[in-house]
Amino acid sequence: MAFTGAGSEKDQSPISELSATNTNLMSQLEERNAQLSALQATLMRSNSVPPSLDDRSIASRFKQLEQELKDWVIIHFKSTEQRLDLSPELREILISRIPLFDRLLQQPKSRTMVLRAVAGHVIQRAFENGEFVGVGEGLGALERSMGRNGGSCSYQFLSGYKINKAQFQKLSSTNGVLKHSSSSPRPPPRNLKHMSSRLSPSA
Amino acid sequence: MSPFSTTSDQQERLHFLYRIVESAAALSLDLGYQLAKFKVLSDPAEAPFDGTHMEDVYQEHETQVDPHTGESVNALDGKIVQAVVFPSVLKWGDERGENYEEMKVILKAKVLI
Repeated sequence: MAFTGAGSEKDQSPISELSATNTNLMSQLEERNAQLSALQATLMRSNSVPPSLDDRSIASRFKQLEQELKDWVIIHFKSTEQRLDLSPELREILISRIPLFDRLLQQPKSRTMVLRAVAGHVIQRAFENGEFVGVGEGLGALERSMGRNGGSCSYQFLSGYKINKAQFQKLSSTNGVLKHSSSSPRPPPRNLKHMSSRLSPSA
Repeated sequence: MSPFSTTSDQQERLHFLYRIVESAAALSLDLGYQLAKFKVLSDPAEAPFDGTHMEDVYQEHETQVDPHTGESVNALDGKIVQAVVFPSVLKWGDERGENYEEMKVILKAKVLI
């Protein structure tokens, strides 16, 4: 079957119309999608505000955090065969927080406590400085200077949290300096820092 | 060797640690939304033991209330703390955003004597 020139022009007209309609529909779809995204964002924001927490549940969550840190230390650093290779940063923490660390590290029972204390200290500093929610040391210091009894809380201005990469690296470097003895291969601490930044969602 | 290569043990350690940091971050955010003010605090090195906001990490000595004075008493009171194993959690104010002059110990610090 042969198509005439006039026929082709006739056929092109509905195609053009369909094409225009399609473009229009696509445009409408994009507009609806944008509206839907905005609505979803509003819903997510309204649902993201957690309810008021009672004292018991807050205490329970901190106890769970303590237990997780304890488990982490016990599982990975319990062995007394492990030689502790103290980085300058970790040594500084130990000197300031646990002056008798040398003696305590030699006893298996108190050794675990020292390591838990270091991890607990790093976590405490992160809470104190608001680093988990992206509030830097500067704002943390400002907040502290305003007094502990201040009613306003800088965290409330934040709509979402972002795990602080520097803080995670600090904890990871704590992880990194507690290594096996030289019989096992060990990468330099920088590797662990790179690794942790790769793991961090904010990287 | 890739600079990111680590042993499986190290990866497991980091993965475990990442989960801990994540839960701490979520807790930090939730505290920020409260009207009450919270602080996670550690006493300085070699501070004297105070049973009102500290407890023995080995749980060998419990704080009790003196029936005569009504005050908290612990056999470790005044002894030097060798390490704060986990910090204390303190709260000022309430869920209505009032009474910020009142402080409450939500969780006592775990200390090594």
